[in-house]
Amino acid sequence: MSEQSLSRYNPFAVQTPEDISAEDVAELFVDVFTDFYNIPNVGHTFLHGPRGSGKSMMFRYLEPDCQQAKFKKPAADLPFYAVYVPIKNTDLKLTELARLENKHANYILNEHFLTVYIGSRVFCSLLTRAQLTDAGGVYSKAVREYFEDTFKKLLAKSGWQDYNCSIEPGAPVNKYFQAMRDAFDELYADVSRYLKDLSFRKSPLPYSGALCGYLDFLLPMLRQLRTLPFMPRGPIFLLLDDADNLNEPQTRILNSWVFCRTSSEVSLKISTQLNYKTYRTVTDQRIDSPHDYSETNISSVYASARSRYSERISEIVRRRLLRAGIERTPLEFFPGYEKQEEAIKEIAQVYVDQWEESGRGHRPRDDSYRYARPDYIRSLSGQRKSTSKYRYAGFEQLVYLSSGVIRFFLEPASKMYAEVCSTDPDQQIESINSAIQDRIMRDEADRFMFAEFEKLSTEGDLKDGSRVTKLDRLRNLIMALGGGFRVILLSDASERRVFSVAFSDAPDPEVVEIFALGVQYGYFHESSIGNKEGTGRTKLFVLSRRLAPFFSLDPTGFAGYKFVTNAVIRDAMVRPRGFVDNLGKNFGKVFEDPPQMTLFEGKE
Amino acid sequence: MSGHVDRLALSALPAAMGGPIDIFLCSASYEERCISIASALGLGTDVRYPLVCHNQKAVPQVNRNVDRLQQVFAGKATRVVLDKANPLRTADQMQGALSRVVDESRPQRYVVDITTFTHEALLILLRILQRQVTRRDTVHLVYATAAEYAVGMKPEEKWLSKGVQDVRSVLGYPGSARPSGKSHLIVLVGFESERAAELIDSYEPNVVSLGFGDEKSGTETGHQAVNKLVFQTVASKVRSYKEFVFSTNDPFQAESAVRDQVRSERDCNVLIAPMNTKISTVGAAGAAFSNDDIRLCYASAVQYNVEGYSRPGEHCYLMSMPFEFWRRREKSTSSG
Amino acid sequence: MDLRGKNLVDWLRKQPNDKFPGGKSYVHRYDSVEEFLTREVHPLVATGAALVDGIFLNDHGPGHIATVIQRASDLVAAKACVLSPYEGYLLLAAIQVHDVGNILGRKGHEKQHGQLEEYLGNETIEKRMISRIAEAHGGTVNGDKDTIVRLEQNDTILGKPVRPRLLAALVRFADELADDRTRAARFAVEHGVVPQNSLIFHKYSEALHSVIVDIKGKAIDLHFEISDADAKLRFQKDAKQVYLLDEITERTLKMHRERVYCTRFMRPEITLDSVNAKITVYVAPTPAAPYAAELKKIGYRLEDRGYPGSGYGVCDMCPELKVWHNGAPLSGDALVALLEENRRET
Repeated sequence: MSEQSLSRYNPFAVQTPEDISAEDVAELFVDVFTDFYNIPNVGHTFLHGPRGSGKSMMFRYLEPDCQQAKFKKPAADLPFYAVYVPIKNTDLKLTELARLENKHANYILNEHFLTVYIGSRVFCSLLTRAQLTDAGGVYSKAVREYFEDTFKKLLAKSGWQDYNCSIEPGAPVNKYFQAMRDAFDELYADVSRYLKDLSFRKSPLPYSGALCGYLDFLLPMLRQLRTLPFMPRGPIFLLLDDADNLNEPQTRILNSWVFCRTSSEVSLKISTQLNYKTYRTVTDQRIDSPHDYSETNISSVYASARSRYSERISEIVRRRLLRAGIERTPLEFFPGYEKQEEAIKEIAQVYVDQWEESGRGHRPRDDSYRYARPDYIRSLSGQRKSTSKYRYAGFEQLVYLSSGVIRFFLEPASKMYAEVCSTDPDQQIESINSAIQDRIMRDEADRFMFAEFEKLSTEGDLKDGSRVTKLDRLRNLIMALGGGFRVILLSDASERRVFSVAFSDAPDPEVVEIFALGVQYGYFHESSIGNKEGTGRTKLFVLSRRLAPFFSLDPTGFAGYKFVTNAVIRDAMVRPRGFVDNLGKNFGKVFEDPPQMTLFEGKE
Repeated sequence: MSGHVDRLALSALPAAMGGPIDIFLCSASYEERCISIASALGLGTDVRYPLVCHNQKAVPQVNRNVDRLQQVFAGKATRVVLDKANPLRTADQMQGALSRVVDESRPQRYVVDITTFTHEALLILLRILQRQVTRRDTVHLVYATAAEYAVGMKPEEKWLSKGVQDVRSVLGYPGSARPSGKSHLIVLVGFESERAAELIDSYEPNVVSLGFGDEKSGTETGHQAVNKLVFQTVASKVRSYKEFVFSTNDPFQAESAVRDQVRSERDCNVLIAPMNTKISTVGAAGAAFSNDDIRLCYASAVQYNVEGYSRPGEHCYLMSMPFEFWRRREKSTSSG
Repeated sequence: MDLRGKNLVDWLRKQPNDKFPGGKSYVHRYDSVEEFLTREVHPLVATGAALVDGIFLNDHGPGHIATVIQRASDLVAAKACVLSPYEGYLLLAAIQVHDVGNILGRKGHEKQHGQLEEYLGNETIEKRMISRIAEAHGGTVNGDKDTIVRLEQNDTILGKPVRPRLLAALVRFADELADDRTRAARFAVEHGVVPQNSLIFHKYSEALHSVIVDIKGKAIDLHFEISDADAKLRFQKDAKQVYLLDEITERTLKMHRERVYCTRFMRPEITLDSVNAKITVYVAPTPAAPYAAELKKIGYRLEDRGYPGSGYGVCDMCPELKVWHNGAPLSGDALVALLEENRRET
């Protein structure tokens, strides 16, 4: 057997947050809660974001061991106690559970399954994350009382009459926590055994085990837990990570818990990867924001406040470099391509010098900022292979290319570091050459583009009547829009950096579905913008900047958007090449400027 | 265990069968290989109840192959409609079809062409057989080799499927996990690097074991090289992993390798994703039969290389499955 | 009932004649009424003829009618609600005419009024039923807002069973739900021709960008969007100056009351338990924050919640008992007094 691990040597290695020690978290984690202030506050919260956007790391940071390491306080002095509940695929969503639908106690058994799973995690947390020291045995006495008076009674009420675990008085608290954890593990195993018997059975199978629910078991259990002397006065947070991995009945059950409004005692912090199944409860009522829960979409926050994201990444990189003993700033460690940046500066200076005569913006700097880099890219496009001479390098560009998801900065950075390391393992690395940065980012873009789609150079317009899958349409849509944005970049338009489209009319369900698929896979992120009439808002779809190298786009700075119609997008999904070719002749008909464009002229 | 595996030319299969078959199961597919075994047996072999499984929403190639299989069995095959999006329906259909033809009053002779079942459907079928088969019955599994996968493509460009539609536990193999336990994901890596990588990425296990097809056990020459490339691609995406080898042409050896790998990490919740040959998938099932703690999972693809998935080979593997394969039990390794 | 994604009018047009009284073509009759109103009556709004008491009315034209029909269609999508084709005709005819009084009720429009009567057929009972269902949608009868209770629970007209209260509740609540931005006189607002004391109503309608009837969840979802500029303004309303948010909260409370009232008559066919209001305050996009238009989200749910309060007495719930005997409300004392009087008389 062989093992590979780079984390000791590579400052950018992406680790599973669960495996990171509290000390490391305290050192490395950059506090982002000014951006996501709802998360550490009392109240139910949904936190949405693609994989790698930092949700699990935020949750890890909230756990008591990290909070204690960071703030140098004992658990009892913390504002809350957070229990991490990871929901991995197939942990709760067992295929056998589908046998219960419309047959037998579907919601009751799913709720029991979810409850005992969470119950086990509560005591896991107390065992491994609470970091309790019980010098005088005070905690042990209190926990014993809790175990005998609360826990056992709840178990008996749930139907486990013969639970007969007894622990000698004076035993350390961990013994009790272990016993309670094991009890939940056993309850979980009971359900698994029942489900196995159910696998190939069409008729209902009577269930004779215990039943635990939120209101009758979990909530009273947690309520009493809060009264223990080592627990904070504040609420217990249940951090349910990746709740997309629940099946639909479990999702509805969780929503019903949100609906209960018990957040002052137990706050549910639920993370999703934008694929949460439903917001309806078991009685079909819908939970809604902001009255039932608050909601944050990481991508939206960082797309709308790019400077904040840039600051966060900068701080993350700085800490990681420091930890690796590299005394360089992020800008120094990831330098741009000097020759390219000088050329762009020269073009920028020309705009400044000519502003008074022919400037479009309100200030000299506006035009240079807007047009210098696009002009440089355009100057390269005349020669056949020159487009590849533009280098996607430099800290700023890498931040933009990560498209608001921290992992998409760290992973390529990790590869860059590994590559430099492999050429000379003994050398102390002070920076990453721009050529390496560029190559890795282009590879990443290619891989991202081709991950789901066929690697055919003859991709083109689909013949009429061909069987077109959703993936085909999505691929075509991306190719069309990416190609279209490239045309804009090379044009004389007043805004050449365009990365998004909004609909001037209502998109039909099929178009919405394809965009939703694109959002799910990370090719787009969804936001909203004022509609064309100025009477409200409409959806805005932003192409991921990770694809900028693939389409040779400028990923930096403010990016504009264009209005399109449903018909144009439908056509693009079938004829991406035709869409791009058509742009040259009918630019204004395909892409319409937003009405506020005149407000943006020359503004940053 | 006294099972054995023989590699035969397809032409030698009827003689090797040595007698009538009570129940023959196969799965119609877009692959030409789905016809290989049935054609080899031909009309000369007495098959009492041929059952042809196929997915209800299928590409035209599948329906054509269903018809061809019907012709092979002179029109007496029963179609068993499966639903790859609904494993419960798949299970009920297979179970129902078997219950209608099994004669419990006498020993039954089962022959299953495992070649072109999906991994999931095959695992479900094996669990159904496990519940059904008695000591008097005989069960043979047959697998038709492929001369080439992803026909005509360069090794580094070969693809069989793209994207992951859904990851789910396989019906009948829920395992017996502990919520407090660490997770150990064991992947029997095949040709589909994206699917394997996506599975690992989405599951985020504490321990990853990547299985690689044993060099000596390739079902046809050339496959091993491709498998190695894919393995390296998957491995490069995983931060740390354990490596092991397993047999791709002997289910008993595959089972043994899987069981050893399970034992290498005690007190873990074990999840196994068999993504190599169907023979090794049988091995994974065997490991799960002997250890109730093991959960099996399946990652369904968004898109399949329907046009050029494989080219049929000229050989097959005939596996004789002893009763001990179906009915034995190790002590559960989970505590509590 | 399952309208299969269509609305009530599309559904009505598919109904065969034998489902209607006398086997007549009620579908044709409905189409004629609709066409007449569109041609002769609704244009009167556009010419300003509907200006009443200085209040510039929101849209009462075909757009509003279409919205009311759509809302009614959304309501009847409940599984337990099955209308007969004749009830469907009565409902839709009532919707068509429910605002006509605002337009034709004044002098100079008697001719159109007479013509409308003709289009609605000869059967007086039937026309009166349509008129009564339509009238219950708003206002008061003798100062009492409880207009629907005056209709019958069940009735038979021309041999066909009908449920007047249900139909009236549908018209009333669908009309209540139809006050969204499609109704706002946007052009007039933008060009400043809306009188100041009507502006608040138009701003309200403009802010209400979607109304969703969530039959499955038994809820009405209202989504408002107001710009920060509008949020800071005060608008004239009667003698006061009010913020748009206050108008929204007051109107949603009214909708809650309408919900409570109308569901009395829509049960068991249609059940609605809550009104959810979500108000998004947004800022106009800027180059620095081109996408982050949302400033604040406010949400609340109006529903019957918790155990009924103890503040109410029987006499509060049954006002007729407030003056039970000799001007005194029902009580032990009042009963004793009554019994004593009876004893003295005998």
